[in-house]
Amino acid sequence: MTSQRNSKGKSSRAPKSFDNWINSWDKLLGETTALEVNTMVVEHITGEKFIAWETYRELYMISRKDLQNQGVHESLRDRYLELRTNIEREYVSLLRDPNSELYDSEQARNDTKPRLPDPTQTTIQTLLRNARFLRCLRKLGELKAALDHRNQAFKEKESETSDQVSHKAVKTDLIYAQTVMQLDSDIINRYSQEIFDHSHKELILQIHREGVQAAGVQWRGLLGFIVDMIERVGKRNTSNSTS
Amino acid sequence: MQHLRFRKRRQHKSSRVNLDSCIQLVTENITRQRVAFHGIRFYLNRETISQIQQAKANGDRIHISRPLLADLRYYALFDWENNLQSGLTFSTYYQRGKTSQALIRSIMFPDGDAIQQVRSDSLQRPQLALTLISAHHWLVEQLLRELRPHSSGSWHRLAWVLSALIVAVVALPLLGWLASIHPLWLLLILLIPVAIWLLQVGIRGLLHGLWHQILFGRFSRRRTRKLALRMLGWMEL
Repeated sequence: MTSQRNSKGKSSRAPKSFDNWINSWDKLLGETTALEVNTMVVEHITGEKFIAWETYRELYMISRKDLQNQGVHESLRDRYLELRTNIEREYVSLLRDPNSELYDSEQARNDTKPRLPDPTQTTIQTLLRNARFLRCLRKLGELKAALDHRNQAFKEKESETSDQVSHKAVKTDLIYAQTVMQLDSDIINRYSQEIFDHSHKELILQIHREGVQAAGVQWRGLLGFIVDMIERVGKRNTSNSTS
Repeated sequence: MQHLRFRKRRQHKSSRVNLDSCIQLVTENITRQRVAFHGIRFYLNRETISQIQQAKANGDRIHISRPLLADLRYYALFDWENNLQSGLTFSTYYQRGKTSQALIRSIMFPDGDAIQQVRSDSLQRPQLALTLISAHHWLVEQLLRELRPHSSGSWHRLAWVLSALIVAVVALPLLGWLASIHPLWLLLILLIPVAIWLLQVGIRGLLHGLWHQILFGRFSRRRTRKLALRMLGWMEL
């Protein structure tokens, strides 16, 4: 699967003014309800940067026919399709969740599954700004990058495909553990089925625990800075409006 | 892709460990005005790892060069690519023989989403994997913690000194002249502290306004913004 770097102006145009700057942070911090840490074991570390629109477009394009045309290795096709199913599921659940800003009462009553919106439509931006959808999209993007890499490796050694390699495909490139710490102090841990059969199960869990502990401190550092900056520049703003 | 290496500097304080030489900011020039930020890389080897372990045990902190810190602040605040959704990516490369391989990657999104990835073959050496993950997270923690400036108060002091100087240069000769007309004018001397105080408030507002302008004004660019962020530690609210 080719991942073309197409910088689409609309989504990446820099909002320059102070108001935009404050508003974007305000919205982002307002929607933050939990710290979520995901631990993945991957065959290869890729340097791909997450760009919501591109990730969405790539996931949107996945279809059995397309995978076949692209010559994606057979053992991976189902996993690609699974990614597409996951993003669809998230979209549908957002439409049917009365608490979500994308809630559509008609869709909630409707039994037929709504289709994912076309990435070239302008309305797509609302979806791509939704915090919950973004979180899902990021993870699927990482999983897809891992699959892309694996597919590339298959292509390179086309002749040596053995059962062992395809078996390994199930073992790595997964989110093994996930911890969600709600701001109201509820903690939820989720583990993938595969971790229980993994030969390094304890090690992965320990790495995950390290990650969870570190993420809390790191996030506080980042937020502390952002809030400090907003206060600094905001102070000037309020003194302007009162004078 | 352009790699910016930061030159090693001498340690400033004994409790600060300097690891600038193994920290790399990865950026890509898209156009002359636009630079895409890809993340931060840590290049570790046995030596740097033991340095980190020691610093961690002693409770030391990392010393980060001012340009690196300003860059980091800039990308944390203004990396607008896709409306703040890209997050900050950190990768750890470990030197094996002559080559370095990326073994760990973590991404921190400001909305509280975090992803950490470990390369599967590094699990074959559990001790090394754990050492690396702890070094990686320590470095990220240190960098993010340093983002927030420790205000030195110089901004404050500068405003007081400036206002005192202005009052001394302008008000004192004026008073001397007035006193030569009538000694009662000397009572105005009581107002001097008030004048100094008022003036320093004004100067601080002015300096802050100037700083704000550099950061968000019509002519603010990447370079001016970085300059404003470099001044952060120096200024006071």
